Formats: sequence, C-alpha cells, structure tokens
Amino acid sequence: MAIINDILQGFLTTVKGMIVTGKECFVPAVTVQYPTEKRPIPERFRGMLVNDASICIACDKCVRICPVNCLYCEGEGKGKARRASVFTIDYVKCCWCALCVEVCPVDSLYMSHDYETVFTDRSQMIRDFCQDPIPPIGGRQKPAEESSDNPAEKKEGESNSGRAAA
Amino acid sequence: MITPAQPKPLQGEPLVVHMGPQHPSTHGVLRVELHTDGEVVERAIPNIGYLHRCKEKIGESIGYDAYVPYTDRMDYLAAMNNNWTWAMCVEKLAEIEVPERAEYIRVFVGELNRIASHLVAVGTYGLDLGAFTPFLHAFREREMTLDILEELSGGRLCFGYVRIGGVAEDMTARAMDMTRRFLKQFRAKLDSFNELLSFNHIFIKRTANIGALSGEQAIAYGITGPMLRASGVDWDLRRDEPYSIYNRFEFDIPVGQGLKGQVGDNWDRYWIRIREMYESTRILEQVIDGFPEGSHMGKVPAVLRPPKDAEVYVRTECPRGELAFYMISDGSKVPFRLKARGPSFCNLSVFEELTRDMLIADVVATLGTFDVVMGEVDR
Ligand code: SF4
Ligand code: SF4
Repeated sequence: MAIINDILQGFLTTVKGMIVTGKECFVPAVTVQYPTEKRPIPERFRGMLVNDASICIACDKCVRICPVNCLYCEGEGKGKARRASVFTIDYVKCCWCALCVEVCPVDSLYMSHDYETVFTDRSQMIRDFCQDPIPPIGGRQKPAEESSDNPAEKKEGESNSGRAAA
Repeated sequence: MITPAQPKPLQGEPLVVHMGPQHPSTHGVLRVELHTDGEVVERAIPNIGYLHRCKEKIGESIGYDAYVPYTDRMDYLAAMNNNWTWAMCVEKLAEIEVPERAEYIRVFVGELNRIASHLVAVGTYGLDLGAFTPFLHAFREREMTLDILEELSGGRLCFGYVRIGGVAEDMTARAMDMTRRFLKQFRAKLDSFNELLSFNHIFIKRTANIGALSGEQAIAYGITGPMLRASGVDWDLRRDEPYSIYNRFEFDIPVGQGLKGQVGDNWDRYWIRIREMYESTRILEQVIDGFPEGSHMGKVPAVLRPPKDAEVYVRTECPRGELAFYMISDGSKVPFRLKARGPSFCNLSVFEELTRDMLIADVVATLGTFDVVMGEVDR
C-alpha cells in the first residue's frame, strides 16, 4: 500500500511543481542575449583598470597597497611638476580589487567600464600608460580639473578615503 | 586423477572508485575515495588540498588592508561575510571604531550574501539529485541579490567591499529601491520554490532519513552553521554571541525538527537553509527601515600598526558556519601569525563517519547538504 501511496504522492507533487514551471511561461525572460544585447552596467562597476598618466603624480601609493604587486611606477620631476614617466600594469596579476583606486590622491587611477578585452599573448597584458594612453571609456573617475591642481588639498577633503582622514 | 581446485569463496576486496576532483557534484575540486562493495560504500575518504593557495602565509606577509581581496577568495560564495570577519578581526586588534551606518551596511550586505549563498546551496543540491528546474529558479533569484551587491561594490562575486574601519563606499538610494523590490517578491518566490523542490515527494524520499547526524556527533566534530542547527542544536552566533549590531534585530533561529524523517537528516539540512533565507529577509527588512545617517568609514590610521603582542580571535556566523580568524601582532605592519578557521573544512571532517555503509547515490546526496566551498576548505 505504501508504494502506491508513494507513486501517487510522487506524481501529485511533481504536477504541483510543473504548475509552478508552467506559470513561468507568462513571466518575461530575464536572460540576455549577450553579444547582441547587453545589460546596463552600474556606476561602480569594476572593469579594466586605467590610469590617466597625464595627472598621475607618481606618488607610489597604489604600488604599495596593491596586494599582488602588479603595478610599477617611476616618476620624474620634483614637487608639483612630478609626473609619472613609466606606469605599467600587469593585467595578468590584477585582481580588480580597486584598493589602488581608493588610495590614489589625484584620482588618476580608475576602473573603467570596459570589460570586453581580449589579449592574444601575455606580453600584451602589460600596459604602459605613459607610452600608450588609453581613452577613457567611462568609469568612476572624478572630473580631472577638480583633482589636478592641488593633490594635497584634495586628499584632506576627500570623503571616501578613510585612511587619508586620520 | 586430478581433482579440480575448489574455487575460493569470493573475496570481498573493496573496489576503490575515485569521485572527483572534477566531479560535478563535489562542487569544486574535492576528490572522494570511495571504497565500495557493490553498491554500498564502506568508506568514503575526502581528499583535499587541490586548491591550496597559502592564504595564511600570504596574510603574514602583506599588510592588513591589502589582505581584504584575499579573504574574498576563501569562501567565494559568501565573500562579504569573509571580508567582514577579517575587518572585525583587525578592528578588534587595532581598536578601531566603526560608525553605526557602516555596521548597518555590513549587516545588509552580509544577509544579502547569505541569501545568495544559500540559493546556490539549495539550487545545486537539486541539481545533484537530478532536478534541473529549481536550479534555474534559484539562480534567477540569486542574480537579483548579486545585482544589488554589484550596485554597491562593483563586483559580482569577489566584492572586496567591507574594509577595515567601515565599508568601501556608501549605500545608494538605488540599491535600497532594488532591495525593496527584491524583498517584496522574494518570499513568494521561495514559496513556489518549496512547491517545486522541497515538498516534492520524490525529493523527500531521496533525502529524508538519510545521513542523519545527531546533535552530540555534530558537537564532537566541531560542526557549525546550518549543519549544526539541522541536527537540533540551537546555536547561532548572531544571537548567542551578538557581534556588530545583530542584537538590534528580531529574528528566529531555525532548528532542525525532523519534519520528514529523523532530526539532522539530509532533508533537514536542506530545509534549514530555506528557513534561514526567510529569516534573512526579515533582518533585511528591519535594516532598510532603520538606516541611520552618518559616515560609512571610521577613522583608520594611514599605516596600521596594532599594539605589540596583541592577540585576537574573532568568529562570525557565515552562511556555512563559523568563520574565525586568530591573529597575533608583533607591532609591525603585518600580523606575526594568522590562522583562519573555515567552517567548510570542519564540516567536511564528519563526512567519512556519516557516509559509512551508504549507497553510492546517497553519498552524492549527503555531500550536497554539506554545502562545501573548496576554496575555503583548502585556503
Ligand atoms: S585593482 Fe587591486 S590588484 Fe589591480 S592594480 Fe589595483 S590594487 Fe592591484
Ligand atoms: S596613487 Fe595615483 S597618483 Fe599615486 S602613483 Fe598611483 S596612480 Fe599615480
């Protein structure tokens, strides 16, 4: 008797489940046909890391914080005129953690909204932003004028870097 | 005359079958050595270590704040909770105050991540037993929680959002709206998920009364989290040792009752996760109603140098159980010693005991309820 009950129950509860599935026919699909259709990217999306080398002051902060040592920076010039002469990032190692973006006092470093990047070779994944400036593709960068004139002031007033406040 | 040799009685030498490391139901790179006698598994020995990445040693060589992304990759299904535990540990070590708003955001992301993690657990558990549709339903809901977390942090899996002293970025109004919309329909979705899988008679037949873990056994093996509660032990750090601001919220701790079979069987372990999701929605509702104003980041020294010989042990309730960090500082920029206690690792230790003399198909069904994340087992 128990087995008949099992069969009956198994059948009935499966039909119940099927009704749930059947209802889904009338719910709009949530899937996106990726290459032709793209979902909107949120403001804080972390895509490829980009540096605007024209305003980077080569302070080395990002290099020091990076947990995987994928940044390399060399600067030239003194004081306010100091600018990066070499700034490379190794995309092989980068883990898109955005720690470097947070410490950057002039906001020259930012995560772009670009996520469709293909490399055919590892050497291409090391990018020097001084030789090969990347056109910004949108991202959480602040306006450049605001940040470029006085890095020290910017650092004090910036609300989102907690470590700079203390 | 030559007498033919008498055939020896059949020797019951166990046949060793390797399940994994690339088996779909091991949820990662876990290799289980099955010593089988026919259909019955005499011993199932989990072999781990395929994903070992020296997490503890790395923690001893890089700075406190740079370690946050590494904690993401321990239990990658509940990255927020891992970040949070790490941040709490360092804050206790260096005596850093966290603003109230940051605590609210932390509870918010922690509970959302718990829902996301449990949805993976129950969805893939259906998949292990051959039910494909519930998996799609679970992942569709999970996608909504991930959208909210992406709106806040910018990442979808490894968030790196909870930082020492607070959280990386402030809460947004859009994320709040998304959460309200999500909460409005999530319970109904869970109810229909129950119809689809939890109360399906075939599913119950496959899981109830199998792999029952008693409360004493669970405590003896150091099992924590949903697995412990499914065995009837009423213990949840969020209520019994309230950290952060959990004492401000009202929620129940679901405990296994053996509704469909014994207490602590596979179905109970599965059901506890569904009920925890209901409770998490309750906490989330209270959190978004009571969001205080203020800063999302406390005062953190530019270079973190905790006092010499400070020693902390901090544990929190992650979706899989208690995650703890033990740390000794020698006054420098890096910890002198770091030890992580992962819930999956401890939970997996009972696997061999639990699967003794089980059928092969039930071993898969049992492993699924453990909800192990190999990134955390091996670290
Ligand atoms: S995003 Fe993280 S890993 Fe990548 S360069 Fe910045 S700090 Fe390094
Ligand atoms: S922190 Fe910013 S300014 Fe300093 S070196 Fe890095 S990118 Fe340049």
